[in-house]
Amino acid sequence: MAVEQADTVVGAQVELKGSLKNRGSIHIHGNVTGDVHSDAAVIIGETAVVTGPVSAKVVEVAGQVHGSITAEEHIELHPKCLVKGDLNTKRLSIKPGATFIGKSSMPMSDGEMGDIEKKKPRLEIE
Amino acid sequence: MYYYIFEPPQGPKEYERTAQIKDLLSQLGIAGEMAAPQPGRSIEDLVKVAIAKRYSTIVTVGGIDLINRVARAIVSHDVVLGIIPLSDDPDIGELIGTTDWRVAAEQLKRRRWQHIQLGSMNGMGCFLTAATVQVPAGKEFGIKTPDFELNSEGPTLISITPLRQSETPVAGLDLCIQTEQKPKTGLLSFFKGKQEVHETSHFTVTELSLTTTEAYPIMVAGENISETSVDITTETKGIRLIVGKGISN
Repeated sequence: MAVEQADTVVGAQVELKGSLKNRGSIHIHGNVTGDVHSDAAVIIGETAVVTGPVSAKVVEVAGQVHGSITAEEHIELHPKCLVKGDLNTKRLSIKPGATFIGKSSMPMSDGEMGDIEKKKPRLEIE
Repeated sequence: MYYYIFEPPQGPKEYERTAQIKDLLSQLGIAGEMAAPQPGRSIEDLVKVAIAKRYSTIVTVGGIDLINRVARAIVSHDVVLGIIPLSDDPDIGELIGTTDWRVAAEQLKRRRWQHIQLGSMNGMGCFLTAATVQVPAGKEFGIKTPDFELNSEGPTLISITPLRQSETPVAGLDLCIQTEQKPKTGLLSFFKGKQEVHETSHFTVTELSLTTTEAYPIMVAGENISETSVDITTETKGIRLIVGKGISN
């Protein structure tokens, strides 16, 4: 029986170098240098500093990310966060107070491009 | 068929409980040879006797220390491990689904077993329940896995537990690193108020090397079984353990 892997958590006092991959979610509160990938969510806490690419279904950033972020579903940048890198996702939410330096791209299918006039904007900047 | 290794009873209450257990085993029709370690006859000696006599099931009647020692001794042999717990240690509950000796005795009769992984240190010492290392304050340590390297410093409790089959279809270890929080003092911390600090790290790894600047004991169920630095992986053979209904295969 295939069962979900337990969550991976990097504590605030930890410095980690290398590749961090997990089928379940990854919570980072420490210092990570390397690529981070989850089949579920990557949550980057206020005390976290990540240097390297981050990819997951959902990515939430409250700390610092120096690298690109790719999310299958959505990216959420919380107040006080710092992101230096490109964002690639279908839905992007940037809260007031967040700092984002980079490009964002939001891939759409041809059908979606045709309906763009009728649709609500998917980039939310509060 | 069943070989029972009893923890030596201490005091009249434990003697009475031992008698009750023996009675219940007879009532259930699963009484077998019964032995207890004593000076000159260790737990490991008793396991050798049971294997030589071709018993198919060795049952520990005692605490987590006895269970770990028997598990280590049977790892390369074709025998099934049974447990009748004499303490309410949560590790035992997690392993067999109960800490009640009466329920555990009934589970033995049903003989429903599960394959259980053991951790292995430097290819030698095995462990069934968590192996822990306490790193003192200010002392650095490093953990290297096939995927990443991690560095931090004490005061930290490092806990390594073999994954149960119900948690994952592959071999693996559960690694938990718990840093003790230093109390924050000073005026600034007073004004900033309480800040939530996430001090616990948690990973699932296939193997790891733990290095420390000084040697620290590695404890399993209160017993010092090795010391750092150490390479830890899973014992490929594992053991077969009799479990309750609630434990999934």
